[in-house]
Amino acid sequence: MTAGEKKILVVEDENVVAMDLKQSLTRLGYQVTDCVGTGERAIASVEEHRPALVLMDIQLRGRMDGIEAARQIGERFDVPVVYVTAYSDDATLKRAKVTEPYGYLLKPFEERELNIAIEMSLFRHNAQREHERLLQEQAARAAVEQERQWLQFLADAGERLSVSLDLDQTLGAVTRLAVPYLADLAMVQLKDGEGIRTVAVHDVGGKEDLVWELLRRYPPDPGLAHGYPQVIRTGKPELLPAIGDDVLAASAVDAENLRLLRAIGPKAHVCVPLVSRGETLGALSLVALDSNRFYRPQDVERATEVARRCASAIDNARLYREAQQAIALRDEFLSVASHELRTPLASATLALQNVDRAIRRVGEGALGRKVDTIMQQFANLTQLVERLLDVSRLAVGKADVTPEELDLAELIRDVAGRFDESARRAGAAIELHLPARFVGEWDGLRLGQVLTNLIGNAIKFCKGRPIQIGLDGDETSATLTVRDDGIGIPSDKLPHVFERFERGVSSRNYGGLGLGLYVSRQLVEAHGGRIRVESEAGQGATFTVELPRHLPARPVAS
Amino acid sequence: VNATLAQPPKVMLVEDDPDIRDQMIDALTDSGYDIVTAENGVDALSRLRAGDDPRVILLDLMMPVMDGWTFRSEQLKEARLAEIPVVVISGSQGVAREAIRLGAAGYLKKPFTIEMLLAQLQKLADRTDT
Repeated sequence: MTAGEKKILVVEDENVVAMDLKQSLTRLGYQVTDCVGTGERAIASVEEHRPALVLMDIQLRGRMDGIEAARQIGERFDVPVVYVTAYSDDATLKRAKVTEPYGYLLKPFEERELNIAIEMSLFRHNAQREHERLLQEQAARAAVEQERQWLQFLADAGERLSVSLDLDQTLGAVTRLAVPYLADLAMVQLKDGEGIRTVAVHDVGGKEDLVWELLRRYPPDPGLAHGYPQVIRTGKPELLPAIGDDVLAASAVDAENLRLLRAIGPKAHVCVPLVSRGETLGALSLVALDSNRFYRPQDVERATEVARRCASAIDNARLYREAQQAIALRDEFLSVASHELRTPLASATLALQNVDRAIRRVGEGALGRKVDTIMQQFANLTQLVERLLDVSRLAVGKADVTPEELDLAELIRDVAGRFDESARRAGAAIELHLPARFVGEWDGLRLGQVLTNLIGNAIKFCKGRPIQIGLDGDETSATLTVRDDGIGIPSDKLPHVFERFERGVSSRNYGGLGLGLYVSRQLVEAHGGRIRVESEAGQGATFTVELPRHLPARPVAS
Repeated sequence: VNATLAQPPKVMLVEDDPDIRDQMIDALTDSGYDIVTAENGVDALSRLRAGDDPRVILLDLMMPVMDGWTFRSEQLKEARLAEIPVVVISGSQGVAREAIRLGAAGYLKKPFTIEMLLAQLQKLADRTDT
């Protein structure tokens, strides 16, 4: 920048002096944008021309003197001012100093002095501007970095909070999350009926025990007009930017209370409500202890943001716990229901069999067939009850297997034998391909169930074609197959047949709960075995069960 | 069933449900057993102490007054009674496990068929004969 491009405003009410100055400036190569005689006009001119510098006489006509004009220019415009005056008394100097002038030229002065004063002022002003720009840039960069850290923290928080659906673990995670990024000490209080329960405390300095002791010995009244009771009651956050010793002394009820409060040493706190789905579940307290941490309104916003995430994690964990309880209740109900159903089934089954025996003695054939039907239906009913309970138990992973030494070939012959009647009715023959004996360690009752399910299915879907049951194996394992040539399973259903309430066919044409194969798989797996199926629509189905011959570990009867 | 019916084997049934009791009396009598019944553990103990000596006790678990578990522990305290094998009867899912825990000779899960009942008794008879 050459001097010619530097625009100067001259504020001088003495015309002669003003002209003189203008000439000097022009000689020195500056461009004088304006010469004005009052403070008001000086301000207007600065606004209009934006000079690089103002030469300001202090003594001006009118109500506004040069110092006041300089003050206003400095306030409104980023333009340096150099005083040009004949006055140098202390009072004036003192007033002038307050306006942070860039120079002070005492009349009379040399042109050279003027030049130096202007150049130094401009240089200083530029340097100052550059410095401010750098500071702003730094602040902006710091803000970006802080924002990045904050977003990273929120992302981590989301991840850490989603790790577990267990309520206690989630609450622990909430407090651990806040320390030390947001607080030196963090607490979570939850509503508990009419009261409030402290559920988690975490800090870096080992003061947790003190906090627990304080809360145990001096629990705050739920009706308290400040602190977390207030936040939980009103759902509004609380910010205490500075907690002095007087505050501690005022809130303590006795000396021991004060001792504990002082030992913990809260310096500031932010308490925000934990709100999920419109309901205040509790509060998250962030406390500053000995660090240089202080809380401002923006920290309340941040704490609120964290609290929102925490609250929904807590809510999720709670809903999950409630769902688990509902499932347990359902299982309990099914268990009781099936037990209650068994007693009438037991006496009815026995009564029917007694009737059956009596009928056979007198040779009443037509009546006997009717009794057969009822007995068959009772057997079906019994199985349904059995399966309902199995499903509820298997849902919580309690397939109990009591292994004993047994002959699997004999078990298959036995179970298949029970289907003679229904196979005959379906017009299908059951063909057995079994070794004479195949002894291993299994739960006969459970494998009997699996066989019953598989053979029952085969008969249901065999379309009158023969059913093949095979058994093969070696020292360590047994392979059992049940094959039919019936309607088969469509390929889209095939991957799902072992799932709960799944069925390969429409429930309109074929009855059943859709539980048999699910239960079978659970039972086979409880034996350490595997079950699979190969099938195509219209091509029949082959179910294969592979079982270890001896259970690796025998479950202990407890 | 039994070739020599000179002295039909005696069975004690401890069961609170009168219908089940009746049907089992029918079924077992029909199959050549001599059956005595008791409504609960207290009833069963007093009959046993009074001199009843069944070859086997069929024991329901869930009963009022004295349940099957208590009966079993009382039974095991008296040497003469302790020798009598017990078959546990229950509609509970864990009946097999309960049977093991109670040191029973066998178990029947409700509902059961007469064949299953007779098979249990036959198995016990075979065991005591050999």
